[in-house]
Formats: sequence, C-alpha cells, structure tokens
Amino acid sequence: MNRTETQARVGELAFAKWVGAVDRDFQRGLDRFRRVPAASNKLVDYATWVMAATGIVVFGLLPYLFGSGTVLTAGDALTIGLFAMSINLLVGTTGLVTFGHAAFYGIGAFAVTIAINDHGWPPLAALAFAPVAGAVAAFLSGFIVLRGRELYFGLLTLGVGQLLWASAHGWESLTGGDNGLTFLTASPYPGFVKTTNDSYWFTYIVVLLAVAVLYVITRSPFGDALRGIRENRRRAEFTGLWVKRYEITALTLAGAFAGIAGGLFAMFESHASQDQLYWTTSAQGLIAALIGGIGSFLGPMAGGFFYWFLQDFVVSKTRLWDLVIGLVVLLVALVMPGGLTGFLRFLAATVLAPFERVFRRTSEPAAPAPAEAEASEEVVHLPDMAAIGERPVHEAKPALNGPPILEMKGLSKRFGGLVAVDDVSFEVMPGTVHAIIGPNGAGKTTLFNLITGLIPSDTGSVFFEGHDITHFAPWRLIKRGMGRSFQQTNLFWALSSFNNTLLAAASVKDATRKMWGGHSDDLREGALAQLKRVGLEDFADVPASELSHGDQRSLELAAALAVDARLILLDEFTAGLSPPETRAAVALVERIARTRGLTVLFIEHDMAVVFGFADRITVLHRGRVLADGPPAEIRANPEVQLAYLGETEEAS
Amino acid sequence: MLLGTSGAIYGIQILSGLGSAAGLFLVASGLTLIFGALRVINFAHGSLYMIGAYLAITFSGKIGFGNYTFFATVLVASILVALIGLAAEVTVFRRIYQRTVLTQLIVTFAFVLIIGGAMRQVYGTQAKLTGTPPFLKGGVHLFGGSSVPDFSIYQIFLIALAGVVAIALWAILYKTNLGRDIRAAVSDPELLSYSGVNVRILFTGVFMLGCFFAGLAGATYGQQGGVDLTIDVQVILRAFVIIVIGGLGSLRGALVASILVGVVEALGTLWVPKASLVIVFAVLVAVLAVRPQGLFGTRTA
Repeated sequence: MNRTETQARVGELAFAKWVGAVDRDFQRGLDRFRRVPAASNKLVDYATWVMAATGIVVFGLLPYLFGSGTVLTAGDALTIGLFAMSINLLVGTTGLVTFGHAAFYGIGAFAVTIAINDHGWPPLAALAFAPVAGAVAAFLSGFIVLRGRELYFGLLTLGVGQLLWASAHGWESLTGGDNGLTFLTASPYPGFVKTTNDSYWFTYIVVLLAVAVLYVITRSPFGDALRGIRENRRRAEFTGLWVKRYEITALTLAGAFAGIAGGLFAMFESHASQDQLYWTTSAQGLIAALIGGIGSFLGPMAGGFFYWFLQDFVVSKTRLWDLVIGLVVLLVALVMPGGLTGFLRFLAATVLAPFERVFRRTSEPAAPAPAEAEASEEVVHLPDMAAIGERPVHEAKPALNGPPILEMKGLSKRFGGLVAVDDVSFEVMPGTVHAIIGPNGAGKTTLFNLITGLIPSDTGSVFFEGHDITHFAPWRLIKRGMGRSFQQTNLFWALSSFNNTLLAAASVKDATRKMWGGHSDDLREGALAQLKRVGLEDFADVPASELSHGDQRSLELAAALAVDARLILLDEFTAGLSPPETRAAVALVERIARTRGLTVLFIEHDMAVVFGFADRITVLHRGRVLADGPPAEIRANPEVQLAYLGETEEAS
Repeated sequence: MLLGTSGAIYGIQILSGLGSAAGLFLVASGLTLIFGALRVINFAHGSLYMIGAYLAITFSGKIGFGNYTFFATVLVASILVALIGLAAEVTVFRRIYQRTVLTQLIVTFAFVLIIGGAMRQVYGTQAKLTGTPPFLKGGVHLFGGSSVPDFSIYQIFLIALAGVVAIALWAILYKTNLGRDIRAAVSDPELLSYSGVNVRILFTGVFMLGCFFAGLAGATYGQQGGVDLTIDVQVILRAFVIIVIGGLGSLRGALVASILVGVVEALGTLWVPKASLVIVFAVLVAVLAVRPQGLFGTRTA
C-alpha cells in the first residue's frame, strides 16, 4: 500500500467513524449518535420533550405568529407529515420497507371526495370514512404483499400500489381520470369552519388527535411486539408471536392513518387527484420520514415540515427543486442516518453533557456503565439461587414410565437427493435432560427444525404432551409450552435484556395484543425474575447486542424460559463459549431444569457436557437413530463407538 | 377474411411486443446484473438510460444519422454513461452496499431526482425528436392485407441487439474469469476478497458494465422516435417489474420476463387500451403471489 493509498484509507476510516460506522439499521445508527457524549439519555429525553412541545404549540398558533401566509403550506405539511408517520409505523417500528403506501393515502382522499360529492355525506362522516377505506385496502393488499420479505416486500408494495393507481387512473367515471375530483359543495368542511385559518386549525386538531392515537399504539405492548419483529423476525416467532398477523395489523393501521392524512389533504386542497396514489408520492413520504428521522416518533412529522417549507422556498426562487431535494436526501442518508431529530438529539446531548454530571450527582447513583459489560468478557455471571429463593430441591427423579412429553414417530425429511432425517422415532420423558449427539451432518438441527415447525416434514408425526403438533407453526408450539434456543444466538438485538424477556413473557400470554397502556406489573416482575434466574439482573437495561457472548446465551435461555416452557430445545447451547463459561452455562441449565421440573432436549458436541449432564442420549447418524438409551449404555455401545465416538477421538 | 384480419392484428401486436421486449431486456439486463452482484436495487438505472438517449440525440444532431455514425453515436453514448456510472459508484454507491434496503432505495431515488433536475436544466422540458439511420428505415410485410409495413426494421435490429447482449452477458458471466469472480462475489464477497480479488474494483466494474447497458438501451431503444424527460420513470417501472418477475439477479429470468411483459402489454393495448399498465402490474402481482421469489429467483436472494 503506497502513501496516498494509506492516506485515502485513513481518511475513509475517519469518515466511516464520523458517520458512526456502517450502520445496519437506522435505529442503531441513532443509538450510536445518542451514546456519543456519555449516557445522558434522560436529560436528552427531557430536551426532546421540550422541543416537541414547542413545535406543537408553535404550529397551533401559526396563523397568529407568522400570519395567514404560511397557513397554506403548513396545512399541506401537516398532512404529509401524518402520512410520513403512517409510513414510519411500518418502516421504522415494524421494519417493513413499503414503497406503495401512497395508494392508501390516495384512497383516503378519494373516499372523502366521493362520499361528499356522490353520496352527500356530511363532512365529518366522510372524513371518518377515509381511514376505513385506507385500512380495508391496506388489509386486503397485505395478503399479497406480505408474501414477500424485505426487498421483495418493498417491490410488491410498489407493484400493488401502482396497480391501485393504474386502476384509479383508468376508472374515470369514479375518479375523474387525469383531472381528478374537485368538491362540488361550497366547502368540504363542517359549518363551523369558515376561514382558511379555521381549515388549518381543523387539520391541525385532527392531525394532533391522530398523532396522539399513533403515539399510544407505538408505546403499547403491541408496539413492543412490532419492534421485536423488526429486530428479529425469527426470535419473534419463537417467543410466541404470530408474526404475519401482527404485520398485517400494522399494515392495516398504517393504511388507516394514511387514509386520514389523504382525506385531510383532499379537504385542504379541495381536490383529490390520482397523483396522490402514484409511487412518487410514496417516495415523497419516505423522504420526509428519512429527513426527519426514522428512529424517532415525531421525526417524520418534522421531516414533512422541512420538506414542504423547503419546497415552498426553493420553488419560489429557482427551478432546481429536484436537484436540491435530491442532494439533501443524499446528505441525510450518508451523513446523518438519524435524520433531523437524530441530529437535534445529538446536539442536545452534546450541549447537555456538562450538566449531566451535576444531574447525576443530585439525583441517583450511576447505573453500571455498558463499558463494564464489555470489559468483563471472560467474567461468568452465575445466578445466586439462594438469593432468589429458589433452593435446589433434591434431584427430581425423571419420570421414565409416564407418558412421554415429546414423541417422534417416523419423521423423515429429504432435501433433493439427500435424506437429512430418515425415519426417526424416539421419546423424551418429562423431567429428563435428554441429549442428541451425532457427527456433523447427522441431521440434528434439521430434526429440531422439523419438531419446531420451521420446515415441514415429508412423513411422520410429532406429539407434544399427547397432542399431534406436526406442521404446527413455531408460535403455536411456543404457546403450548415449548421453548427453543438456536445454534447462532438469536435475540432482539437493539432491545434491552429486560425487554427481551418481557416481550417473550408478554407475547406468549397474548398481552402484546394490547394497543394501549403498558405491560402489567405481573409481567414486568416475572421478566425481571427470569433475568435474575440467569444472573443478568444488573444488565437489565443493556441492549442485547452489547452483552458478552456468554451473557447473550444466558439471555437467550431466559427468553426461552420466559415463555413458561415445560420443554426446552437447546441447539448447541455452549457453542462459542470459553471452558469456564461452558461450565457455568451447563450448571445454570441443570439447576433450572432440576428445580423447575423442566424437560431439556439438547444438541451438543462437547462429550464432557453430554455425559456429565444428560439422563438419556439419542445418537443420530446419517439421519437415522443409531442408539437411544442412558449414558452408560451409549458409552458401551460398540456401534456408537465405531460410528461416532471413535471418529471424534481420532479427530481430536 | 375477418378472422384472418384479427389474426393478423394479434400477430402484429405480438411482433411489436417482441420489439419492445428486446428494448426492455436491454434495460433490465444491466439492472439485474447490478443487483445480482451488488445487491442494490438501482432506481437511477432509468435515469442513466435517459442520459444515454439524450446523449445519442445530441451527437447525431451534430454528426448526422448515417449508418456508421449511428454506431459511433451509440458506442460513445454508452461509454459516457458508463463513466457517469463510475463517478456515481466511487462517490456514493459504494457507501450504500452494506446499508439497509431503505437507505439504498432512497439514495438511488435521490439520483433520479438529481439527474432529472440536471437534465431539465440542460435540455429543457421540450421533447426532442430524432431521425433514423438509413439502414434501419422501413419495415417488412409479414401479414398481408395492408400497405403499411407491419414490422419495422428498427424492431428487428433491437431484437438482434438484445440477442447479442444476452449472449455476450452469458459468455462474460459463465465463460470468463471475470464472470467467475462476479458469481463468487454474489455468494460471498468477503470470502472472495480473502482469495486475492479486489472486490471493490470488481464491484465498480460490474456497476459500470450495468450502466453501459443502460446507456446502450437508451441510445438505441430509448431514442427511437423521440424523447422527453419522463422516460426515466416510465422505463424504470417496467424494468423493475421485469427483474422482479424474472427473479432478482437472474439474467435468464430477465429475458423471459421481458418477453412476457412486452407481449402482454402490447396485447393489453389491443384489449383494454386504457389499462395496459394495469395489466403489467397485474401480471407482476399474479406471478409473485404464486412465486414470491420470481420465476427464476432463489429464495435466499
């Protein structure tokens, strides 16, 4: 590498650092911004509240403060802001990147216009019809668009949105085709709205109400479930969330809010046009959301204002609006991933940092800084069983005679020419610790995936506590009392440890269907108890992504347990742990299993763990059950030694 | 006679559909190539296509529509578009490969706005008309009963060009070392970089190649008859539909889907003149409802 190249590289690295490294996620990018000047989140939160409140008051008094001239722009900005917020419910909260949301915005606009023009509805009833129309359209589209994930979802929404636009465009008798629809009545507003200022206030109040409702939904347990889905779809399914149903609910809600926004826009402009359904309107809403900040609640609204007022200003001076907004978008996307609100929070945090210490000293003792967690990479967090009042009882005798808790009958799975799992039948007895071993490629993880419904089996069936659960979706199994951890750690990364367990505890009880208020105290206490059980109570507020690998495994166990599992499936629970961490983890699982009468079915490569821990062992080899019995029997089995143990001993 | 005539109408429509399918494939091939290697959906691909069309018109306005100058014009325009692609890749695009889908879509959309705005400043909003080089004038009579030729030479030329591009791309991807590297980069760029390949330059090269095809499509299919400043969005929507139906990143899929979309849209104009676009998107939604990963796509894409 020559000198200039090195310089370029250093410059690039510095640039990357400045940007906040390559962010995988806007939320995380925003978090990075937040963390820069110490952990002054609480103060910054107050500052954010003050800024938001100021904004709300200023725009309420806008006609008085800046005269009626700004009202026309501000009214449009309010509606595009609400539209951007409805997009953000999908993009920012749920992680669904939609590119066709304008369809529901436009449908709301036409719903109001058609209800008033063709059916003579009173204005308020017509406006109330807008969210209904938007929601119904969004709900129906969900059955198509939710078949795709990520990029395909985005492109499907684009396709469905354009289909709706093209339909509106072609259906001239209803929508007026290219000309759109203009209100036939003198005013689309109720009688008490007389002046332009009145219509602005009408818009303002309806938007404020809608935003308040949206706020309650976003902060509710339901909102937590959506954030869980955003962070880790698979984990969400394995905490008992019927993900599709939550996604379609979010889509419907977003459609309703877009519908109100579109209806208000049509009333304010006295006109509904098919342009409102066009994909560039979706892009406009996304741009507003992005500029304002996707990681914060009011960000998209701020972005809507910024977009509309900047447009007003630029268009009045030049013809370069496209160029200007394009450059602004580039700048925000590359340099300020948190958007305007992220930047404001960053500013506030920087300005408030000196006051942070004063604030801390007078109020509360400092919580353990996340830095400590990083430093303690090798420290093993063992729970203190006595402290949490769960005395280890004498080893509960495994019920070897009763009905099995889990029973597999002739399970088979074929991938093309490879038979991954071949006619596997065995039983797991309640209260036992049951190991599955076998060389790589023996079909162990595939077997787990068949049991937990991640992939459908070709033949055979699975019974859990006597019920046939073959082909059950994961969330249904979780609700019946099964928990699972994965070979690769699988958590809600940006959520705190506490929220990881809380979400698991809440979703399995369907408490996440609640769209208002918070989680009940019972649930919160239960989630904290689960954290204590695995020794992570001091790290309750630390995001899962910042825990050490060993603690992440413990947290995954806590989340798997929080669903009140009676049977838990652990896939290479000790993978990637250091020897002391492995010992601690095994001791932890064993204690929990013995004290709670939990049945454990685990895949493991470490023979010391297997033989020191398991009551019973099933050996898989090339997809078939080679042996099944107590450890001593397995150890003595010559076939197993030949096929498996001998192999590993030679290898290691 | 009546049946014969309507049969001929369908035949003519299908042929003209194949003509636009060829043009659409030229656009979609570059788009799907870029997505396949870089995992970025480039909204600005249609804008690069538009630049290609305008550049071709500017040059031929200067040097005229001769048989040889036509090829020179097309080549120069395509290369210039590839160079514009180089500049965009080095300054912005390479910074978004690892970003979220949202950032990628919005950033490339920002380029649509910037390029559209810049083009309006340079060329104005008036549509530009073009001529046709002598050897591409006229048409052939495949179906009797009309004095007007029913299949233009230009369309035959486009179909031939699309064929050449398809074969060339296939040869590059599957018969050369470069193609092997590109295919390796698709599955694991990090691993490829450990085996001594400069992935950054490879990506820049792939991006330029994709842009070259965008320019080529613009200079041939795009400038046909005349251009205005809306062709970027018109063509990118169809190109999206094509690469999504075909399966993102699949060249074969792009070819099949181009024919499907070209012919369906041509026949659609015959059946329901107002709703041909509805039909295109309906085909998209129908295909994806059955195969969410597209015709030739893989689920992991």
